[in-house]
Amino acid sequence: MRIAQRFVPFLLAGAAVLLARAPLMIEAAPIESSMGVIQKIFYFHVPSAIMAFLAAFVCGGASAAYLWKRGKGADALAVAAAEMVVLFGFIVLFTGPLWARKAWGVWWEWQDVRLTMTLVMWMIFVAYLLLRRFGGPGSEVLSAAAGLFGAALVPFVYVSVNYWRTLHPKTTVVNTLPPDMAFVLRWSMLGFLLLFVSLLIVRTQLELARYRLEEAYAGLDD
Amino acid sequence: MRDLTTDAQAQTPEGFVSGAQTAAAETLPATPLVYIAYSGIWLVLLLYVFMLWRKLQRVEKDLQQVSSARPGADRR
Repeated sequence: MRIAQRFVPFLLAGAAVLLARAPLMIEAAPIESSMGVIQKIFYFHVPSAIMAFLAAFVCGGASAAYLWKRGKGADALAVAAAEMVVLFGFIVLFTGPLWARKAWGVWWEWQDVRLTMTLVMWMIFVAYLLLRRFGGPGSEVLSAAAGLFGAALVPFVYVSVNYWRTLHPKTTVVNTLPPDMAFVLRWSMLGFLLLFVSLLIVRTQLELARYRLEEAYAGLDD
Repeated sequence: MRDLTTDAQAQTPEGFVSGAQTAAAETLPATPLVYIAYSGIWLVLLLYVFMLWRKLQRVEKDLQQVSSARPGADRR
């Protein structure tokens, strides 16, 4: 963890440079023919969704490790990743309806499986954090189980658009991006990835510091 | 109930196509929605980073206080 911490300033600086440049590139990117200007939301909406999925996998893996070995490092990583799912998932759920209002004529469509499953997945990780906050002793195990369920949902959220054809386009739509649009997407994706990794490291560091604080308080009581 | 599958086939594009002329023909202006989206994203991210930084400061301060209250306590 200490080695990872040393990279945080560089990761954050990289993310800042990439994400500061991104809006200019998004503005300069071609306007999509069928959706128009609103499609430009795509360049931050999709990377946020990918980061939320990635965070859910990290949380699921760390939760499984915690359930197996009960290590505090795994638990801290799981908590940090769950918070990342909620953060990046919120961005997805905030920007999606703005795009939908213009492209589909509705803010939200419950029959769209991708939308509804994304909300359910997000709520599982909100439940994870609520369990950690208010669950009391033993909530680590319960929340780890919730983390596993949340991570297991991710592949279904991803492929849902291929099996239940509603409003979201299929996953193959990204492959049809013209090169000048694809470059901007990759740029934003890299910026979000660097931001995600640095926030994950810092949040894990915070959780480990909290454990140390609890131990120190317990030591004072003895 | 509306047949969403048929709607989707009519409305959902199956591929991205570059084209600059369509923006002028839009009825509901998209630009404010795009600005709201990007402003919201930046606001949420900056707020989160600020909250994280505040929490770290607080925990580190508490750790220092507890450590100073226990001279000889090991510092990791």
